[in-house]
Amino acid sequence: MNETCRRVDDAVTSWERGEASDSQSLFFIINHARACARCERVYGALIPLIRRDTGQSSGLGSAAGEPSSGFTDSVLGTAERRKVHRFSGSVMRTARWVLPLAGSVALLLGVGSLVLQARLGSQSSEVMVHFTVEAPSASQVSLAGDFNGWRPNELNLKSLNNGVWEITVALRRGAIYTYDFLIDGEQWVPDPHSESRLDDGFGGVSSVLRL
Amino acid sequence: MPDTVRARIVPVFVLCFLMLAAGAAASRGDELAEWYRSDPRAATYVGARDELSRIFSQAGQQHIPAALLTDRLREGAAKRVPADRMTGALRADVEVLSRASRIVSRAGLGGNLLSPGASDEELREVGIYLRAGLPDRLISELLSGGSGVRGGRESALAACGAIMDLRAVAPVEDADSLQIGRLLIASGMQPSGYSSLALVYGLGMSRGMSRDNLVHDVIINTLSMGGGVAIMNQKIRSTPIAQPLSPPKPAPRARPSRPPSGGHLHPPHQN
Repeated sequence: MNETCRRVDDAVTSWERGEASDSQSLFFIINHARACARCERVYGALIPLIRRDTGQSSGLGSAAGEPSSGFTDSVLGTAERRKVHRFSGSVMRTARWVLPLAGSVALLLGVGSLVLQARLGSQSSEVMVHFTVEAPSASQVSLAGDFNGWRPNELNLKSLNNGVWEITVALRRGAIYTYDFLIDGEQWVPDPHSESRLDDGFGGVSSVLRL
Repeated sequence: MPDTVRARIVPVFVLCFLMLAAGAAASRGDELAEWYRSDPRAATYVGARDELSRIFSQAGQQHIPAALLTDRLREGAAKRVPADRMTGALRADVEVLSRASRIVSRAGLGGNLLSPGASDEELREVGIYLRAGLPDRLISELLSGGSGVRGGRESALAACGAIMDLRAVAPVEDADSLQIGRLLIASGMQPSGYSSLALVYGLGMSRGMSRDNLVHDVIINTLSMGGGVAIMNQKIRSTPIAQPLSPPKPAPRARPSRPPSGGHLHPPHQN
């Protein structure tokens, strides 16, 4: 085990503890594990999970956080540079209406966004999820679940010529989904790779996926 | 503040709040009617409309969001289930969601000014865990353990998910499930990584390790010591394979057989 491997050990431990979430550290683990037999053997199992964490495709994740210090400095700097004007009488009269209205709208927007955030939860990042199913005799396979309102034939899988069908779908991290595959528009089958399944209450079985 | 300004501000505020309240009321709307109007598959269930209305009404009295039931209507309609089966499943859903509602209320989830009850998403998630067979008390205790802790809400729900996945592949007793769940919440691991416990268990089983060994020595012990999935993985790999998975080939130099996947855990879905 060399020094790089030790750094990978540290990086994986940090990742597990949620301390090293920057893409650079995660790509370092992935790239090193590709080249190092020892780390590939020890951490190979975790690579898909680590890779998943590098794939935060949505920019909304950062939007939920605080504005950068640069942004704050910029705003404050602008405020300091702004000259103070003496309002004329007509402007003051207009301001009596405009300011309360603007304040009310801002309050409305603020409350609305807080309610929306509370309803949707803080999880806003997306994960690219790859679904595969083996159906050699099928002529069409689609995926349906509560992520698409159970609309059949909307998410059609692509055949890989070896009997395996695949599709990649962007789903929300932190959410739980139930889904099934639809073979030839007739037969609903659960995902053979899913860890958990559920009696769907309709006489069949649904797959469960929590991200 | 001058009276004239106050007299103008107050009506504006009242108007804004009325608009907000009207918008919220409109968004609740009549979900069932909307489903009949918008989903072509709903035509099959016109004869069951009165019964479905009663079920939705009953759900409303128990503060169960109608959207959760329309999700299930869409699923049943997509699967072309008969009307009587649809109504039976929805009645069962109302019962499960009612239990879920009691659980999240007891756990104090969603209890703030802006979100007085649990969110639809939380109720639905707890409902799925109940349908998957997790005991009410186990879910309740895990959620209670996560309430009041920063990020504990997400961790507690993810821990329930991990326990559901684990119990799907291993007969884990309730007490052990609770201990594992609590350790996960306290571990500092990313909640999205909790689900790898089931994969760890599968890897250990493929190497001939016993259930007790995996649950207690590998999972509980590692989490108790502050370790995570990587350490569990190392523990499993350092354990000699108890028995070969496939008959040894008649070769001059027989090598220990490996799991079919090459010994790697494969969460097959997530990129």
